[in-house]
Order: sequence, then C-alpha cells, then structure tokens
Amino acid sequence: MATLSGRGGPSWRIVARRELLDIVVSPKFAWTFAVSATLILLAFWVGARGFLLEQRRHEAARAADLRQMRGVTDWLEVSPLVSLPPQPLETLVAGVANDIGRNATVEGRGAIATTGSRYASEPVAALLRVLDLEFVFRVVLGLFAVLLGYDAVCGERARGTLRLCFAGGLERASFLGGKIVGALAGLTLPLLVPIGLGALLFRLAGVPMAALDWARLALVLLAGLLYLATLLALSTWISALVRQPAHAFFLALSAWVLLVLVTPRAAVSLAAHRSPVLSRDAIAAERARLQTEIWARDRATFRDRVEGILGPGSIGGHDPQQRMAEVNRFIEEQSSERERRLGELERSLLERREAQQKTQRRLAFGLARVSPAACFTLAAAELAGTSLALEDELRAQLARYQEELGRFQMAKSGGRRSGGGMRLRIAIDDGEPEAPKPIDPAELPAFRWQSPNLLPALSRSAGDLALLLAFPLVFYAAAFVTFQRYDLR
Amino acid sequence: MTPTSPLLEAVALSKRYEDGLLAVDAVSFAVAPGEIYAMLGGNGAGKSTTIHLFLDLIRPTSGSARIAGVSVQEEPLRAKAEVAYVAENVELYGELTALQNVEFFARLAGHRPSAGELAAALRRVGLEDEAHRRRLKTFSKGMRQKTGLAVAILKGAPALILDEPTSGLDPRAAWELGRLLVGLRDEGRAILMSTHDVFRAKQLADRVGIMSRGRLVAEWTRAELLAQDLEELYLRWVEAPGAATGEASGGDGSSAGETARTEVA
Repeated sequence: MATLSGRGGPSWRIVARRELLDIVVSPKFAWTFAVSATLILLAFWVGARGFLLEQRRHEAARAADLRQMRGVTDWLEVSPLVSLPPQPLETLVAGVANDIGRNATVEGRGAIATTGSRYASEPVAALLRVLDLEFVFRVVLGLFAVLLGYDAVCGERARGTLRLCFAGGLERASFLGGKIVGALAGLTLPLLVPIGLGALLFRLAGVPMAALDWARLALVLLAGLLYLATLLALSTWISALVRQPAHAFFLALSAWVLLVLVTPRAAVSLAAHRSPVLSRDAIAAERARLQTEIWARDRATFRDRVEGILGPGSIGGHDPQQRMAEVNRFIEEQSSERERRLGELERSLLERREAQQKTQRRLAFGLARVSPAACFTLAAAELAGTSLALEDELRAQLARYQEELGRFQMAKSGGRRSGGGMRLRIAIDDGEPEAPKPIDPAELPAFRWQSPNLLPALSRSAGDLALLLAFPLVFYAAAFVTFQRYDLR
Repeated sequence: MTPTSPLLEAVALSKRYEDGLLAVDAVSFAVAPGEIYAMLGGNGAGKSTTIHLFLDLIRPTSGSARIAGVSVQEEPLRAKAEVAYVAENVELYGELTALQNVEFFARLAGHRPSAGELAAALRRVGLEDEAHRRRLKTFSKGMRQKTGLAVAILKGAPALILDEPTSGLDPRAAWELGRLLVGLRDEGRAILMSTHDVFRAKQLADRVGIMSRGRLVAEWTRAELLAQDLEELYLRWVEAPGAATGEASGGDGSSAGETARTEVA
C-alpha cells in the first residue's frame, strides 16, 4: 500500500503527500500521464528523426555545393552556399528555428540574403506548427495543471473534506501550499520517466547532444516547472474565489485560454499595429532603386573611362595587360564606391528597421509577458538557442564569414573579390593559350556555425525566469488572501 | 483547568450572518469529561452553526466557545488540538483507502501512528480488515461514518463533536455507533452531538438540550428524562418554546444570559 509515511514534517508536507497520493491513484492521473508521456516521447522521437533528416539534407547540400565548384577556374566565380546546420535542441524547442532563412549564397561582398526557411519549404508545418517539447509543456501540461488545480479549495469544500481538515487545526497557508506542491509533484514527477526515456532515445538515435545542450534542456525543463507551478497557483486561487467546482472549472479554463492562447497573439498584433517596422522587402526595394540609379550613371562613366584607357593615346601605352589591369582597377573602384553607397543606404535602413523592431518587440514582449505562457515560450527559446537572437547571430556569423571569404578571394585573385559588379578579362592571342587551372574547393574557407554561449542566453532569459518565479508566489499570495475570507463549511 | 472543568463550553455564543439572520442567539452550555451532550433541534435551529463555531469554521458575533479551557476564537489551533470532529456526511478522500485516510488525518493532528495502531483504530470502530485497503469511494455511508470515527479516535482528543452522526444510518449501524460513543464517553471523553434522532438522544445522552431558532430553549439530564416522553417534549419546545416553558429559570446560574435552562417537573 502506498502510504503517507515518511519523515512526518510540517502540515504542508503532509497535505502535499496526501495530494500527491490522491492524484497518483486517481483515474484522471492515468489519463493525464498517458497523454503527457505519449506526447513527450513523440516530441523526442519526432525531434530525433527530424534532426537526423535535416543533418543529412545539410550535408548533401554542402557536398552538392562543393561539387558545383569543380572545374571552376576563378575564385571570383565562387559564391558558396552556406547554411545554418541543424541543432539538436531546436527539435525540442523550435522557437524561430523553422521560420528564419537558414541558407545564404555568400559572395566576397554585398548584401547577404538568407533564404530557405523550413516553413517556406513545408507550408503545412507552417500552418499547423510542429509538435515539440515546448508545445507539450505550454499547452498540454499547462491545461492539465489547470485541471488539477481548479478544484483545490472549492472541490474539497464540496466533498466535505475541507471542514474536516480545518477542524483538525490545519493552517490555511499550509493547506494551500501543500495542495500546490502536491499537485505540482503529481504532475511533474511522473513526467521524469518519459523525459528520461526521450533523452535515451536521443542518445540511441545518435543525436549529438553536447553537455551544454543537456544543460540547456535542463534549464528549459526548469522553466517549464515554474510555468506549471504558476498555472497551479493561479487555478488554486480561482478555486478559492468560488464555491462551486463547476464555476471554478469555467473560470480556470477561461483563464487558460486567455493567458495561453489569446494574450501572446493579441500582444503581437497590437504591437504590430501600434509600432510598424520597415520590412526587408522595402529595404531591398530601396536598395534596388539606388542600385539602378547608380548603375545608370556608372555605365556612362565606365564607357568614357574605358575608352580613355583602351582607346588611342590611352594610358598604359600598348601593353594590353597593363591596360586591362587599369580597366579592372577602375571597375574595382567603381564597384567599391557603388557598394559603399549601397552599403550606407542599407545600413541606415537596417538601423532604422532595427530601432523600429526594438520598439515593436519591447511593446509586444511587454504586453505578452502578462501571460506566463509567453514568458515560458520566450525563456525556453532563449535557453534552447532558438529565440529571435538566433537570426541575429546567424547574420553576424554570415557577415564574419563574408569577410573571411572576401580576404581569401583577394589573396587568390590579386586584390579582387566577388560580388557587387563586373570584371573584364582580356584574352591575348599570342599562340597556344595556357589552360586555366581549376580551383581546389577544399581550399575555400568553410562556414563553421559557432553555437552561442549559454551565459548571454541566460542573461536574456533572466527576466522571464524571474517572472516565472514571481507568478506562482503572487498567485499563491492572492489565493492566501482570498482563502482567509473563505467560508470553510 | 481542574479535572471537573468542562471540556466543551459555550458562553453566550451568538452568530448573526451578514444577511441579518441570527443563527445562534446567546447559547450557553458545557460538556464535562465523561459526558454525552445531545443537541436536539429541527433544521435551521442553529445546531450545526454552534458546532461550526466550536471548530472555528466561522467566527462568532459575540460570546465565546472554549475547548479544554482554551478560547477557540483566541487560540484556534491550540483549542482545536483538543477536539475531534465527525461530520454528518463523512466524506473523506475517495481515491484513498481507509488506512490512508486515517493516517493522513492522524498526521495532520501531529501523530505518527504505526500500521498496527491504524488497523486497531479501524477495527475498534467495526471495520473488518478486508475494508482497510479499500478505497473510500466504495464505502457505504455507515462505513464512512465509522472511518470518520476512527479518525477522531486516532486523534486522541479529549473532546469529540459529532454533527448528526446517526443521520441516514440503518438501525444496526446507528446502534453500533451509539455503542462506540458510549465506550468513548466511558473513557472520559466529552462528547457533543447534534441530532434529529430523539430516540438515540434519549438512549445515549447524559444531557439533552433543545435548540430552536438559534436559542437553547430547554435542557434536561438523563435522570430528568427517565419519566418523560422526550419526543413529546421536543415537539412542544420546538413548535412553541415560549408557551411550553411553564417555568423557565436562570439555569445553573453560571451562564444566565438569555439561555433558559428548563427544569421539568
């Protein structure tokens, strides 16, 4: 027989043990555990399969890109396709990992456009989203937490056990604390089994989780625990506001819908309406407009200048190589100037966009953080490395790679790099032409994604974690104050 | 508190609800160790409210309830440590077994009974061993009532309060409950029970008080009731307490107030 025995201890622990036992032996536990365990295992299984598939695709794309370079004889014709490799944790906490463009064709200079978001290639997934651990915690376990807590007080009153507990000299704070702790244990302790099995599944499937990834996952689970504690405390408070369990059920379910489903989306819609952001398309259009304008002018200048170099009485005398070098130098100067101006425009527009985005995000997140579900989503994404910072990090690493590629091309091509203009090549018929040597793609610098450190992610998620810690305390305090006036009969 | 001091004592206890209803009106009585006190009264007479005042489930408007000399209103936790309670409908935790239920409430009361003590308490109230590990939701009302009594026994409190303990029980279950109460009384416990059951009150109680419209309108000892028809007295007092008084004195003098102690000739 399962017993309440153990170390005895304060009343709240006795209530918590009884609550845990009551939950574990109840039929509703069997149902909630079966559903939760299945979904958690499914999340790990889908995640492992998804990761391995993405890894194969990623390696195939890299190999194909390298194959394409075979036979190329000029490093300036090389613009490698680089992509964000799949990360194990993004399969458990998707965040924005499926929404952002993960590939980019990088040239030695110029704008880098990322493409190839997973949702763009799989619109069905974009519509229905994926089943990941974050979803299971936020929606499914969140709902079960509400269902476990909604009758914590009024249910005991309706059953008649509340009177008996308090006739025995129990303190109200101990009762509430014990109920919340017991329910939290009843909800989460059994989930350690499917989570442990899921972790084992990851290992067996060969998903390369580094120690840091496990640490990140543990922190995500901790955030999930705080989120569930929040919903349990909230529903316990609701149960102390009313006398009938049916009313509490309706209120708790409404609160769940409002906080989990409505508030985060409403916050984003409101923020987008109140604080619009310049789109990337608009920036691209503005860039294209300026580019067309510059090109029109540069063409005329180019014609005059090239005629001056190549025409009669031109500089460089009759040495065609020297003349071509002069033309290419001019082209390079024009390209650089063009890129400088385009870059300036783009930087200025991007800065404006960034400022607008910051304002919009601040507003959206500020409003959304009323909802514990939003706090959990934001914290989990930060900790798993799939927050909005992922896109910024990818752009930063792509920019660094572009610099590296540009330097490499300049070293290989006599001070030139690909992108942003044209080049002229002159062929001098002076007998048997020397066949150009193909490049060796292995020499090309590889794009190596550096997983961001955990500390900045922890720092960014600290606010949400603090809120997730504060919410249960606030709701517990509210429940305690309400319960002081509760008619126990 | 001396050994003869009452273990349960109401002193001019009153409760007026926010809607103006005076549910308990200056009720005074005392239950000594080794005594069963039965509060008789109809629905809405104030019996349950009086019990709830003793258990600190509601606060009195005036007056006080004392358990073992400790004011319930001033020191509720200390006072309630001295009393055990059995509700009209004992609704323990249905998903837990009888053993788990009694263990939980014993632990809440600060005890750590052994498995043997738990089983002994359940046996004492007449629950067979096979029932000890059954879930409470499979129990009949009588069995739940017995489990509730086992909870009360395990608490080991000197005072016991029962709200309509025989309500809805079959005659055998009611007889068994009565036998248990007498046994507990003989151990020196003070027992306060509210009931509609005139027969059981006369059979078990050492004193009977009649409540009507929030007031304790009459009170008799067992000796006084020997030659009386309690049912007739009850009906007379409940239907027309003023007319039936005949002669209402100030009681035993210790709790005059408005509570009348009626000596029946």
